[in-house]
Amino acid sequence: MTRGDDDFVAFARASSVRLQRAAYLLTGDGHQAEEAAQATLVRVYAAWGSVRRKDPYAYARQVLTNLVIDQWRRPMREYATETMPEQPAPHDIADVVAKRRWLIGALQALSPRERAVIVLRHFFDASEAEVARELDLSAGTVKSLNSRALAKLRITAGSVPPLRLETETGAGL
Amino acid sequence: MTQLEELKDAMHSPPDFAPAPLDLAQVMTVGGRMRRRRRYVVGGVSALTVTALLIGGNQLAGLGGPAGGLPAAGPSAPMPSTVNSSAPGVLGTVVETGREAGGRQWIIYVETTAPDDLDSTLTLVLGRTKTVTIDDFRIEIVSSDPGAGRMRPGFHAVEAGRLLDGRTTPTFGYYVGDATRITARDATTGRTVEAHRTAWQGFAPADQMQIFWFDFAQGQPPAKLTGLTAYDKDGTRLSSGG
Repeated sequence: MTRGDDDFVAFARASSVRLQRAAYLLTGDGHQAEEAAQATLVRVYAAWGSVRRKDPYAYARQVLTNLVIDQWRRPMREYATETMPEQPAPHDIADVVAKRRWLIGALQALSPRERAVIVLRHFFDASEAEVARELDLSAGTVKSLNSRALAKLRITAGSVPPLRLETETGAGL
Repeated sequence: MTQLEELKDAMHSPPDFAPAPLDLAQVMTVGGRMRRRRRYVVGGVSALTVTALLIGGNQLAGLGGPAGGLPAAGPSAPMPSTVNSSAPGVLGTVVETGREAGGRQWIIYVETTAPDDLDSTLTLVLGRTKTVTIDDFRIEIVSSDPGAGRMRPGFHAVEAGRLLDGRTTPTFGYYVGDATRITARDATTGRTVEAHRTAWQGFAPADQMQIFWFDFAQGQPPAKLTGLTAYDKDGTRLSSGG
């Protein structure tokens, strides 16, 4: 095993859990998440020579997003519902797990593009410019998708963090 | 905790999901294979680009001359069968159209889940790319005939041009047979238009398949084309298949 392979193994071990979580958020399916994370690491390893000295986390994020988006495009497009699940009853809100479960369920009810924007912006902490580039959308579309999705998730606009600049780096995986 | 922080917290600890240990040995085996395969594709595409430039010059010089062999670029290097004879994914020539949308060039290529059974699995993909490397291919339209017979003589997987997310796509498809000219009629102007063609080859030298696409103007509605026809070198109509 070369030194580059050692570096890759360290990277893969450090990032595989987070990649799988992101894939689960994007697909809503545990098995698909595992496969998508594995396929992402395959592609990262294939390009390791060129990405290891740059930002392998950002590269993995982009590969994962592209893989999931490609899956959406293949069989048929998935359509979002405007009807979101009801929030947990007041006595359940104190239950952190119930609230998390509701949020993840509501996330799955978003359109694929809305969900991708939410995951990239608020799970990966990518900037709007980075999200626009990785999803091949305009910055305005990213902004409106983000606002609409947060509204569906009952997240008030006041909670949205200030916009980040293109030059800022992502927080990684 | 703000509502947004609650959302982030939920995304970082989703209930009902437990990450599984990944098989890194398998990752590195498949990734290494992909790395070798990509070297072939990128090398092939580079050759394709150079050839296309040369042939473009010849076309300018030879306007009005007889229809000869393929006017488009020659095939890129096929995938190495010793490594990839059963590997799924991109196979053979990647056609660069030279046309861009949103900073990405339209490309057309073949995907298959079983390279040894193209007759049942060959799938044509219209995608876009910035770097012409596999990792960067973005799929826009996936087209294939249902069932088997995908390598029979005639036209296959033909997709009409359309507006897709505000981008104009070409009319494209593939033809199996010894065509030296493929034409269609523009239903609006009545003119006959000729397709760009690129020979495609997987593993078998005798695949006799070519990928074709018709010119289009980005940002304008696609032309409505009818009467798709293939001709041999003598100008005789060839089978349309079906």
